[in-house]
Amino acid sequence: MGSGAHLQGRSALLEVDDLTVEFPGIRALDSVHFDILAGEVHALVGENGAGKSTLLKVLGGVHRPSSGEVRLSGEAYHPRRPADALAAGIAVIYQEFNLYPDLTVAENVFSGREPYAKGSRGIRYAEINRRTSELFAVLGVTIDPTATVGSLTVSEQQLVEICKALSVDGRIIVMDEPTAALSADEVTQLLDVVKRLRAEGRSVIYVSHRLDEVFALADRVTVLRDGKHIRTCDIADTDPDGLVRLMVGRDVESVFHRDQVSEGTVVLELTDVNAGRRLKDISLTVRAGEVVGIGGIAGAGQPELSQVIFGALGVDSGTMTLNGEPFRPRHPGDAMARGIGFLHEDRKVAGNLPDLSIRHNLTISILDKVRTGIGRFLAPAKETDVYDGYHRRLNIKATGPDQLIGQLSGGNQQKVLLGRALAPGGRLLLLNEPTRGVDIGAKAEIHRLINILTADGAAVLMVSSDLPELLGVSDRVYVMAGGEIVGHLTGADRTEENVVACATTGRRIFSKELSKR
Amino acid sequence: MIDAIKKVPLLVPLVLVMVILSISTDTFLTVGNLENVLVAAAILAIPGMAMTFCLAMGEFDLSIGSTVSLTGVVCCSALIAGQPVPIALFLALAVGAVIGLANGVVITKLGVTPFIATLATMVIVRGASLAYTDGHDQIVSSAGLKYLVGGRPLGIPMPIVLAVVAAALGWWTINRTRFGRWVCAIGSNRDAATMSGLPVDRIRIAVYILVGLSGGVWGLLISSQLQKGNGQLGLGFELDAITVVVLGGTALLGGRASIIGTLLGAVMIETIRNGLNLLNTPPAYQRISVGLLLIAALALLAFRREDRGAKPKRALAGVQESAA
Amino acid sequence: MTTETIIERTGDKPAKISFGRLWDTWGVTAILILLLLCTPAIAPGFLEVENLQSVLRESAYVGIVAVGMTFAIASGAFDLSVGGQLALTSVVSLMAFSGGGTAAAIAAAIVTGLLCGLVNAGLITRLRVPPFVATLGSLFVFRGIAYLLTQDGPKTLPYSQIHSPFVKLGSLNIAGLPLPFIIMVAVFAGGWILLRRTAIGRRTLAYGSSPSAARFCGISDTRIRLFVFGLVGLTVGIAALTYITRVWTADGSAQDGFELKVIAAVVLGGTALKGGKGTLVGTFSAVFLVSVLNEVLVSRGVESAYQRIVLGCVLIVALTIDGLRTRFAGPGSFRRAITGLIPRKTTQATS
Repeated sequence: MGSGAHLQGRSALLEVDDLTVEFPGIRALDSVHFDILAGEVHALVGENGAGKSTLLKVLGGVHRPSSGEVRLSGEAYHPRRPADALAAGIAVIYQEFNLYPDLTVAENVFSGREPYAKGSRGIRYAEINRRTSELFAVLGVTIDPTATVGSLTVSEQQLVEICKALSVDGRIIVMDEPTAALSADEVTQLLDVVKRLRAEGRSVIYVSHRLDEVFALADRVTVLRDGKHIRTCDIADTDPDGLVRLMVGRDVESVFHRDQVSEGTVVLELTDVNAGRRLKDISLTVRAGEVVGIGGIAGAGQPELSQVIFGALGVDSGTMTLNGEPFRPRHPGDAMARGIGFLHEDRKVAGNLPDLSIRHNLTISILDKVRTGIGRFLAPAKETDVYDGYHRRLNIKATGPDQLIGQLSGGNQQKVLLGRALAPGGRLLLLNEPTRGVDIGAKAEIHRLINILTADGAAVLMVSSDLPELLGVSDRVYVMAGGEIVGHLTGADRTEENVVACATTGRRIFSKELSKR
Repeated sequence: MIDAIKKVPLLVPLVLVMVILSISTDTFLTVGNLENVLVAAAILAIPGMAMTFCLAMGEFDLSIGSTVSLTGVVCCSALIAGQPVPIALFLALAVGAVIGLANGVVITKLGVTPFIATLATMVIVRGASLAYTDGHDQIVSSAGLKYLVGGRPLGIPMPIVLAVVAAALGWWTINRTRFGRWVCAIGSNRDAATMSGLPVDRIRIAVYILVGLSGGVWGLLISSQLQKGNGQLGLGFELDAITVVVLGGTALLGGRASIIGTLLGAVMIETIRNGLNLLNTPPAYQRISVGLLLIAALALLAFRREDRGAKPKRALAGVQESAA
Repeated sequence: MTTETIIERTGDKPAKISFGRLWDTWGVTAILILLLLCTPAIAPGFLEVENLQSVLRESAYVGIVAVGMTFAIASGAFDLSVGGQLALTSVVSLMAFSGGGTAAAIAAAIVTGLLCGLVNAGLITRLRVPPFVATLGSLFVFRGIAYLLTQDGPKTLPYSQIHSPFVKLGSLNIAGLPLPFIIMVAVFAGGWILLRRTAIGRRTLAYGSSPSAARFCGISDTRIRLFVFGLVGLTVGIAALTYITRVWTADGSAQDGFELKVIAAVVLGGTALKGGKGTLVGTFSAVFLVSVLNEVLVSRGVESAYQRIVLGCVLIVALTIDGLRTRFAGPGSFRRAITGLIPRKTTQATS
């Protein structure tokens, strides 16, 4: 168990004062304070978008602060490149690893700093292999230094990153969600490794959504919310519930108001669906006229679930029914033909068609409906009608149908993509993170639209990592962890505490079904 | 043995082809013929070494065939103008290096994709060669130049000596030096290489210079063989050079390099060409065979990749899945 | 987070018809017109009817294939094998002509072209070979087969057939316009309708713009590849007809370097290499820009070798602008692309 007591009187190794980071249009960090002592594990927690990643990237030399001061051992620290951070002894391990999959473990660890032998023998492989093994021994693990990194498991790759950090004698090792993709055993191993790092006298900044890990590991914890520093305290001075309250910290009820909707017939039903290693025994129902939320920490399988229903990922076993009929789409086209609309969580990568106009982005999945004449050619007039319809209905702010989608604001882009998802006229909508990266006003409009749609009898399955949204907009909430459904919350059980508890502590909560039809 | 086959999968088909040719012709398995095959393979293997670096970095150079022509022309016309052999050789290599430098700069500094940049260089350099020769052969008769291909130090044909030296250097560089490891690192994950502060642009330029230089050597060898240079030499050579490397098992998308594979790839191509000759098939088949070999090698690689499964990168949910 | 916010920012400005966007579609056309206006001064005799007809005739086969290539590049792929396809298709068509006359020759050209395209599509979708390597390989295979078929010498149109309707394909003038040119205009018109007014054309653009997003719009990549490479094959088939009826002969070496001429025309025309955009108007103008440029060089006594150099340089310049524009994408990108050439000092955020 971590305790702050032994840290009394030590001076800060790294101090962050009044740090503000601004991106065009948004203030990602707002006068944040943070410090870490030598030999401390300092947990950094907060909801998605709280600014944790931005802080890490400032420390890692990826982002530059707009104002504020960072001091390392009392001296100003302004890394301009990732390499500067490493040279200063700060090693950041991002979620997306910086490894060369084709090179060996030892080559990865010493990349850019390979020791040379005199004469013609080149890189001293014997030496780097030996030193790599020694570093792994410090961590208490064994990995073959001559193995190819691409052949390792995710957890082993993580250890290679840590080993890399040790090899530059990193004084501060920063880990961003290190356990997001690990199994339970691997998590235990990683926690042991972090404890050894602390015993070595190194400092660790540990970012995690999983509060059980935080309490097992950290000496102190800092909570960020909406880019602001909320609190830093000894881990002994708080408890999981208190921490959750600090992370959430909002008046939930007032933001979203959802009309009570009478439940309709079952539109979608999944029974014991398995898909690859990502989804295990998923069973759920979605009824006409209701919004079903899917919550959980990132990487728990939520987007995969919606992609399975949309036919973008294959199903290994289990049954799906749509409106009572068996349903097994092999391609998104199949699902669209059955009237399912889909919104991808990553607008930039898998949503926008950046070279196409708004009008063409809207009609791309319903080209059959905008054709005319004997030649069945596309009719620009009909496409413009489609545009006009959604332009009004979704209140899209644009200069005209021919504006490129990339020139719109995030919120308006999202509305266009929402329009695209609605266009097939579907009775079932799969919405992934419908308001991610969207400003408050557009967010409310999207929520109101979801309300109207369900009032008309559409069924909505919404994946959201935004807790207030998840709880405010959904009638029922399923919580996922590790590819499984670990919670089903209805009625009064739909609280942030319950969602967080299911997602992070391994507790399972299943509300009784209120009504059966 | 099993290990060797796993590392260089080309070994089995190569032996197979050789056995078939030994049985079906009585001329293949003679010392004279085998030496011909090996000399031809050696000439192909030398640019293959440089191209191995380029592919290991995840890039291509299509301009090497034109470089062969221009450097050959430069060397021959320098000799015709009465320059001594070393000067002629130096000029040719310098021209090769400059072409490589131009490629590297256009690609790294102007942001033109390697494929198109080298395609354009290919045309420009070919045009320069044609323009310079005005469509005529530059015929020389120089014992010094002849020695490059015809010489036999210690009784071993010169190209084989050169190829062995090039392969040894190539193997050592790729496996034992930072430069080699960095080339593979860039091919493996360029973003990571940039993030870790490797001098990515400089390495890329260096590799293109290397390819240009090797194109110069190739041009010298060809003009030594033919005792002439002209604007038509080296047409389609870029495909040969790339095929050799891909056949040898160097990953097309970069990250890994197999020097021994490249050597065997060169032997494989020349064996097949030789065999087709001995079997009296028309020369057209040789073109087809190289194209087919390239496609077959890549298709095999694609399937092998699938067998091993995708690289276990820490995937966020989403589009990575689309490679179904 | 950052990517989102950057998009956010660009939205606040109202979209104007920017110079960059206009340039995309009409830039080459403007240059072409400018060049044509200058020709009387730099190349007297250029504007004579005979000469103009010759230019139009000569441009036809590059132009026709450029239509197919515009689709390929708009979908984010190349077809490097068009030269091999053209040689093979021409040879097969000439063989069919000596066997079965005009109809057989036309059918043979179209079918051979289509088959070549399907082979490419098969290599890419079934064997998962990346498009440019697949077509690089098939370039040599197609050419090799053409060589194989012409071992006894090039296939030719016999002079006795000078009055055959087939030969008229290449030589007829209608209202002063050469038939090959009319065919080319028809192909461009058909291509324009296909690209702008049909579902498959729109899907091709969507796929080229973002393959992953297109997947979630229910667009099948196999179908796009089949369509695009089949279309390239089809245009090669048509082009081969205008080619052989003009030069009367074909063998394995026919039109060496053809692929480059075609790709250069498409890229010059403003079709972005990264896919998602295709402008047939630009391609059309670029085809003529290149041939007028060539013609001017020829009339000034510049040899064909130098023409290659000019073509290559023009390509690099066009691509440099394309590359820089991609790097500085967004409104005002044209200006930023130009200023981007000048290295800037990176500002340090903190003091």
